[in-house]
Amino acid sequence: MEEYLAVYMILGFMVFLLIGMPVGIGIAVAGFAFGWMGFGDFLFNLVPSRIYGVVTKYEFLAIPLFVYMGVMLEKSRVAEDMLEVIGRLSGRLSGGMGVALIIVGVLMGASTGIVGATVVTLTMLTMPVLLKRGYDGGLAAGAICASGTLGQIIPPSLVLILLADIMGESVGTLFAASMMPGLMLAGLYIAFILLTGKFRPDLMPPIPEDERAEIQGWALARKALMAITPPLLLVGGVLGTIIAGFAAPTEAAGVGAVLAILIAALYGRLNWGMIWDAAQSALRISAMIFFILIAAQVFSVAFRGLNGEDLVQDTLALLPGGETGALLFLMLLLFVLGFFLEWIEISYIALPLLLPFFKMAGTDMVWLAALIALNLQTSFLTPPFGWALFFLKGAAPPGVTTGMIYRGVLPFIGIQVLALVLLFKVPAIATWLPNAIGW
Amino acid sequence: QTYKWKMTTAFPPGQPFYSTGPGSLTDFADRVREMSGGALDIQVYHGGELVPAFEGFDAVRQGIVEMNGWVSYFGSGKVPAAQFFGAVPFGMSTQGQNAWFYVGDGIDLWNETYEPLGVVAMPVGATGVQMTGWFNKEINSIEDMKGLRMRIPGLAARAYARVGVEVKLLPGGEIFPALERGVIDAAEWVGPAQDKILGLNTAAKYYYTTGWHEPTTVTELSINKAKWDSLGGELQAIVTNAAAACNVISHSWAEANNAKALKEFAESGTELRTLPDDVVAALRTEMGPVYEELASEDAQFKKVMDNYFAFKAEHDIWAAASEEVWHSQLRDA
Amino acid sequence: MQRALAFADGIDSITRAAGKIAAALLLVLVALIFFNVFGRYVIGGSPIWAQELEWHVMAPVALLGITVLMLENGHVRVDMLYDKLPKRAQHLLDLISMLLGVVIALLFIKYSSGFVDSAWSIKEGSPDPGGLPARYVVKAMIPAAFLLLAMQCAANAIRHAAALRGEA
Ligand code: NA
Ligand code: NA
Repeated sequence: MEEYLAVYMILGFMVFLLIGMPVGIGIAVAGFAFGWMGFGDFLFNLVPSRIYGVVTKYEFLAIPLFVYMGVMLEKSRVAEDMLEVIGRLSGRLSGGMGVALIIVGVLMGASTGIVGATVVTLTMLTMPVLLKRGYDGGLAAGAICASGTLGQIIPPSLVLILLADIMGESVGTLFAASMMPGLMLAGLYIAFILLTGKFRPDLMPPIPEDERAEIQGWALARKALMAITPPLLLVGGVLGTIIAGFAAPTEAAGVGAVLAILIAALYGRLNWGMIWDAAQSALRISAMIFFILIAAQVFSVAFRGLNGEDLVQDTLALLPGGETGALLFLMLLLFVLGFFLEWIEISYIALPLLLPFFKMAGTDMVWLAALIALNLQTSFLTPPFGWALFFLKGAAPPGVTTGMIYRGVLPFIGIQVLALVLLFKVPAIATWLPNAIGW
Repeated sequence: QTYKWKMTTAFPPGQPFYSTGPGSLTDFADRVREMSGGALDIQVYHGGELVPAFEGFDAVRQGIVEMNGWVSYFGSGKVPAAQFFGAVPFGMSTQGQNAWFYVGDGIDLWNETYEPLGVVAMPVGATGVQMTGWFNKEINSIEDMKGLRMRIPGLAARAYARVGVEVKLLPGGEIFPALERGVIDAAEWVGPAQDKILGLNTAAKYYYTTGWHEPTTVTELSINKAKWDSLGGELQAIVTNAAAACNVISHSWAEANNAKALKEFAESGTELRTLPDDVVAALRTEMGPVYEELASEDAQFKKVMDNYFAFKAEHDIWAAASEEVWHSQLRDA
Repeated sequence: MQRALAFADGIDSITRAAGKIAAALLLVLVALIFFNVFGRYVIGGSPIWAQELEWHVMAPVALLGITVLMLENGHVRVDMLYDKLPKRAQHLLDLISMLLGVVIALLFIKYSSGFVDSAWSIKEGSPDPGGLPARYVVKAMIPAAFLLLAMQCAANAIRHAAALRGEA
């Protein structure tokens, strides 16, 4: 009986969302209301300790730090200059800035594993420029959400750490295993952007001929050097501290924030007001993320209290025999659950029940983990509840509507499915690297 | 009457020893369900599933969940004396620790310590002797400890700090990348079987023994006192016996699987080292004032500490005459 | 209504002050992490308490920021229907949302009592020696911050109500 209340709770949240209630309020109200109907209020006493868990989680330090770095780069116009120059260097080619955006997403993804941090930072840095240059808002939003969630499959990543915990695999092995699938996905995004640019140049126009004619040759080369060096320094600084072992990934986000201030200073664009204003903006954008994460705790507790896991478990009874059939079923199940539930819930509820089956069947656990990670990454993107979509909306300039975002992300969800199929067909994409480097 | 209880744990779902397999907390719940014919049905929620990993104990105190599985020293910020029921630097190994619990005053002192919190507790798992940890720098003398960056939590960290180690706190998931990349030079986790799951053997070259800081680490079963009293003698007996069984079985699991993992490490190039005598001696010296300071700050800490080390002093005589001789004279013969 | 609007103004200024504190703490956080990284190489280590301070500082930044953003009506929402609504309907929806915001903030406070009390009664500190002694204070920040949120949601509700009555 109570399980059905879990379904109504999801529907209730959807209604609250669609009528335009703030996401955080809508999700908490749905959780409280349907939780009370089902089990009273006793379990809600667990909510504060979960909130405490969110606001003190070490890895979440990356949120304010990364966002601060992003705001600082936006204010010093470093990212804007870089994208503009890339647009000019791309000449008549459509989508040059879009490709640059995906690459920036990969680099950010390699620096942190917190989706909220990467999506909002990418949004602040690229969305205004892309819109100014006539990119289709939906397409730009889709590309930002997709490349902003790449950090979830490119290590380091919270999803991979939890998967390692649940599957009893080494964190290092899973980090290595998902590296190639992550890069493959980025490659597919880039291919999609270039193809779209070729067939629908109106959606991502190149910088106009006459404007490009203003700066050319050596002047352009010098400008490019000037514009691309600072972001490279920054990326080099953040990734460099991680790779060289100077700092753990979470700490590297702090290094990035300080470097962003230094770069602004280097360009003579820094003043004291900017440091303070950046803190003000970073506070608000971080809070937008934290409010959703906090309010979602009510929903999660209610979902468990309403025995929502029974719904998932009932579905598992439909699991077909045979390894391939079962794998396809698992992938479909995770994909569908991703529309409605957070990856953490999905991982805790569905995986422990299914893993023994695959262990018995002799499935390669590393390959399976990469498939699951890729699939869970998609859940950040799928409407109506994909967190990445909200994060983008919260950090985007006013003209960017939810409708645009929902529409724009669809082709990228298609690409995710394509990547899943490729990985399913060619397990070596995941298993080769861990074997090669012995992790 | 049937009871449907919830148990939170501090451990991730896939961890053998703690979460799955023989002697784990899930195994404990299964045994209780089976022995009681379903009268006591405990649903296990792993770390982070219902509450964050270290918040389950407070949920038990408030009676929101009935049981929690973790290690007592996680709660030493709440109750300093809890340290002695988890792991005791330079304390006893599993045999002595169990002797203190079941036959000495251990469990009584444990319940006395938790009385003000409304919690009863008992051991439900034991790791056996742990390892010093994984090092990327060789330790040949106490000098090599100076400036060493090490991930080490808990009471032992203070002795390490006093010999010049730079102590770093990191969550489980960040240990591997930090050690592999050299953010830290050394890291302590559990023992071979569990360390292998984190992949620490691929992140560091030297594996140092022995776990002076955790001669055994006890998994704590904490139960809300009011709920416990409501169970009735029969179910209480089932819980107590299932916990004792898991205490033994988990230790057996660790003994068997540590052996396997250690063999694998040796085959894949890990260098097994013993912590030099002067380092151990220095750490022992530095641990003294740490214990003294904590005892001077908290009466219950002192009471439990005195009882523990008095028991140890007596047990050491027997251990020296039995196990020690067996190890040195008979084991390899 | 005038008195209610004056009350709302008062709450707004409290929130603005909280916002300044939180933004300053965010800068402290950046500096602290930078110090903890470079401290390792420059002055031979960062103490345990400084490492713990990182997330002790994040808690108020995250919690207070929520209220600051609420003041500015900046929390993210799905705008597909909302943007098409007439102004009055938007105010009505916002009034309901803010009243619900008051309710959930008060519920967070209600459910925090046991959680905070169990930490406060034993003055819970860090389990790591050399760590910070006042973990119970961090826990107590949760109901405190939600009290501020409840007040701000109430202030917002007053303004939307005034707008509906044509008084704003
Ligand atoms: Na990442
Ligand atoms: Na989704």
